[in-house]
Amino acid sequence: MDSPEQEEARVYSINEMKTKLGNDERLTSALIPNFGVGCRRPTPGNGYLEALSAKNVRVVTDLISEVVPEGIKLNTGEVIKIDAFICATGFDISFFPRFKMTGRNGKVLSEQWQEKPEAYLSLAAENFPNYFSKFPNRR
Amino acid sequence: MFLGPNAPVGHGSVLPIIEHATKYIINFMKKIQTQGIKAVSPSPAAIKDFNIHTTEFLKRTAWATPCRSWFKNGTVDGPIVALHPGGRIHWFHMLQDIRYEDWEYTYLTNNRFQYLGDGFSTMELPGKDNVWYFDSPEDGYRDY
Repeated sequence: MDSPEQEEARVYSINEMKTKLGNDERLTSALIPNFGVGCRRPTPGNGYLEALSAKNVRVVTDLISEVVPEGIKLNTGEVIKIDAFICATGFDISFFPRFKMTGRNGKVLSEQWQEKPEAYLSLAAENFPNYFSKFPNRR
Repeated sequence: MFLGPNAPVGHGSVLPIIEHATKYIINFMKKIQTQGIKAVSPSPAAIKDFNIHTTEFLKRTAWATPCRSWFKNGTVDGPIVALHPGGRIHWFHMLQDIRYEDWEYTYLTNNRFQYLGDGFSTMELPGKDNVWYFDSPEDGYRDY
């Protein structure tokens, strides 16, 4: 966090973000994070920041007070009419499948990994022989 | 399992990561299918060692600095459950040579060498080149 490399990455990233957001004070203060570079997954996201400052885009940072039949109502009282409403609520990285999976010694993966998921090289789990399954962590 | 706990998912495109995990699994399956193996299970000791290494390594990374992130399953200071302790080339290299000693085996019969069978090799089957070793005496050394 205090390394010269982190400082350099921070200066570079802030400069890039400011340029791509067209130095819009409202957008830069809403979007430039205060945590270290790399703490969250950096995305190349080509065109994303530029799109936020495009003429036909409006970025709203006010809180949503409720969802009404016509659209989204903000805490400012404004109602934004919408065609589609997409919620991005984050990821659940608990790594076990939605279905109950029981392995050796009567172990259930969701219980075995309740506290912290510990795998072998990210590929396999204790008590689950021959378990090479697909994307258990995306749900 | 693809992209299970502590895979290099903070390290660029996930497609090559999935491809390398697939290679590992397919290569392991070849062994399982041809050597009379019923089940393979990672040993608790290997998992413990790997996770001690992972936990210690990740403490000094940018991922461990204060921010809420899905790498820490939505917490600010929880364990980094999502990431590999190193770069993704490091991860590819790690998977290249399977550490068979980290696995526990259950065999189909009570003799692990049962698959040696009648003493003939599948390399002697009709249509196979059974004198390849005269043509390529250098074959068989791994390029390390």
